[in-house]
Amino acid sequence: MSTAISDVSEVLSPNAIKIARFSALGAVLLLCFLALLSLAIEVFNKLEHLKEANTDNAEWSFSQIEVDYYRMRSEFEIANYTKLSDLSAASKSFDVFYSRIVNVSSGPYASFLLADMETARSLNDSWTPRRISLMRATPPCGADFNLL
Amino acid sequence: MGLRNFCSVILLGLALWAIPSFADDATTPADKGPVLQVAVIDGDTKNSLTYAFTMAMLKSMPKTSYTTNTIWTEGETQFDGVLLTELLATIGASPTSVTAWAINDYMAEFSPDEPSWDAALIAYSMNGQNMHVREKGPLWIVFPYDESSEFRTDYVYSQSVWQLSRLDVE
Repeated sequence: MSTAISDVSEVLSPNAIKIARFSALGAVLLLCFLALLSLAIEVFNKLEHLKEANTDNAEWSFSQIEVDYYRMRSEFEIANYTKLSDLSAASKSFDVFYSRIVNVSSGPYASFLLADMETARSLNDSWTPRRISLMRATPPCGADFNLL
Repeated sequence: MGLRNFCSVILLGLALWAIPSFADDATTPADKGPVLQVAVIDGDTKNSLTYAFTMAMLKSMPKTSYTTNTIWTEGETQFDGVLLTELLATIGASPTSVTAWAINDYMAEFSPDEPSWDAALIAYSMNGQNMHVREKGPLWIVFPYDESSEFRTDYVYSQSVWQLSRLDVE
């Protein structure tokens, strides 16, 4: 090894050796930089991919159903006990609740939810009776309350 | 949320069963008076000037259409409506922020420096039909979700306000 170095020293001037060493160091640094750049791009792409969502937020959707259910119940109770002639607020709250139920029970979002067997079973057990009641109540709640 | 409680609420609806006019005959809110209120709020005095838009007024404004998939609808859906920026230009507002409110008091904020600002469409029809409240109408803020991954984020989904009823412009 020392023979090889001494051979190189004999062939190249000290300046040329220095330039060669700096060039080698530069090449290594460039490779490191490129590797880091490549990793940074990969991380950035993964973050971009993670930002993308295919569905609505399930927890929020279900909590919103509960909020809209209690709002509807409250509106109907007010209408019932105060004998209101204008039932538009109750009717509107029913429509909002209906839209929430439809959102989680049909369409692509429902397919996503039902893909998980446990969620599907839970939904089936807890929501089927409510959906039946909801569908039964739909015609009268959609009626023209001005006729009352 | 118990089934018994739910049924008690539904009882009132069932009591109205005899009424001859049913859901198919029901008029949508879109047919009656204003469907959207726009309150322009002065940042300093907090005084506000409110504009009321009927469906006919919205439909008389320059129309923009998006045909896109959404996470809430089956297949490609066509939405027709008015761009948020177009609506604001009509009333001469150049806001720093807009808060969109739904019928059930859900709210989302919009800012001019967001990519979603220029694309926000106040849709009044879906596949050529007016939207009932039960179908997330009568107004629904939508975006061209298929156009860019920028529009397929949780944040933009949260800005897709259904059953839009009011805009607070500041």
